Amino acid sequence: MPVIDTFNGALTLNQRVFTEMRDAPDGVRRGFLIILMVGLLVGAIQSASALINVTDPERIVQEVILNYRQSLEQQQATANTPEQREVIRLLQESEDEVAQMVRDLITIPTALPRPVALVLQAIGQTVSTPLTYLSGMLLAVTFTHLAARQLGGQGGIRAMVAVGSLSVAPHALDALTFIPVLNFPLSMIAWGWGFIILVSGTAVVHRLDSGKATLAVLLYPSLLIVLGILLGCVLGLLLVALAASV
Amino acid sequence: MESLSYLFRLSTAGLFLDPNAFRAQRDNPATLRDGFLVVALVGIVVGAASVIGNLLSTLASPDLLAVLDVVQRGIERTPLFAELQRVNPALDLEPFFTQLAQIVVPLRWSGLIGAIATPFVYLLSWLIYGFVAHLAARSLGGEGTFAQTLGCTALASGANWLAVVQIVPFAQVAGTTVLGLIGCYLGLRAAHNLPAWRAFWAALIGPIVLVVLLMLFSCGALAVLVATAQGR
Repeated sequence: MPVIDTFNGALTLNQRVFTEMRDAPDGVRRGFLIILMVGLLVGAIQSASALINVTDPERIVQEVILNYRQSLEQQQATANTPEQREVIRLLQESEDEVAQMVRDLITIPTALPRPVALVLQAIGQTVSTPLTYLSGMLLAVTFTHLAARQLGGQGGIRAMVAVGSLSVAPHALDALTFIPVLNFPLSMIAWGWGFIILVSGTAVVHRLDSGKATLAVLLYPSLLIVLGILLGCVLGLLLVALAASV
Repeated sequence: MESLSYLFRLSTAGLFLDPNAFRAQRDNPATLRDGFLVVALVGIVVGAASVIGNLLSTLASPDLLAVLDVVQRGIERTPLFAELQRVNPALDLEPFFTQLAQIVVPLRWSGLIGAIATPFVYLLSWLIYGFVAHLAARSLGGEGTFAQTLGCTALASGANWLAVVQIVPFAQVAGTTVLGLIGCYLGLRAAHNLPAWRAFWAALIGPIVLVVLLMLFSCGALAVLVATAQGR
């Protein structure tokens, strides 16, 4: 089956595509091809968008200054001593010097001409994107596979990686996240769609019902979140105790 | 000497988690030699790609000393620094930035040195991991020989083909560790005819021991630091 058909089948939750990917000897290669295709598409568009933004150095300076102002405003809201307020006032007065420093940093000469350096950075970002998706997919698939086996699943890790790769397909939507208004909704749609594909894929690979497959996908992430919260609380308590003892 | 195309096929079979390749490698009479060559080939290619990427990114990045100089001059111009200097006329950033420059200059070459060392690092970690995983697999009831363990886990280094992306400057590598561990799991399962869960633990015991040792070392180092600070 051509990669584009597999891609479309994944997006439409076509069970035949899932079964075919599970049983195909070259399923992992085809899964990785989908990740490569999606990653390069998203990476190319996002880095092209970033490239347009950085071609105007004054725009970068304005962005940095905007963040600088916002950060100082936040600190001002929490400052409760005259010394803190004085430092923040002096930092606010330093805005022009900070802007000049950013301008000087941007214009430091490089061995390669600046446009070439910028294009190389954009290519670097583009080729890194498929690996970012692959890494996330492998982690999700590994934890899901472990949970699925504990819940009575019978599938193998190779089939799980092959079918799990299909969950990256909806992330093609990330290519449009450079549009500020669409950034959050599109990311959420891609994530949710990918989640549904992973649940369907787990059910096919491990021959589990939808409930168990959903549990398999959610089990370890939920445990990790709970553990993270508990660890955060313990660390917070330790810090408070330490501060009180000093 | 096996042909390069054969070794390339073997390593890419590891990258794509081909179970037949793992089984064939287990039954290969020259499994250890082929495994060694696969790891060395991947290491050399990744190392070469990394050297090229490092050189290009150095050429495309500003000089770190020039960056430090701009930052120092920028801070010295701010009203905050002027106020601090009014309170303490002896305040001088020069010693701090000189020290920082001494740290930064060797760091410029660390990437290049790391890239050159890549094949040796891959070979060494393959041997150490193989040794630990073999002990774990045998203690869990595995039947494979040491050569079979090393031969099969060598295919997992095919995951490092992803690191060839470093030939592009500023590219970030990700996913090689998890994919490599999945490959090692399949390799140990094939080499030792282990059931899934036993192969899982055999593959993970080495990394778990390493993480525990690192955590103990970090805690020990932190305790020494705290004790030193309190002793002052």
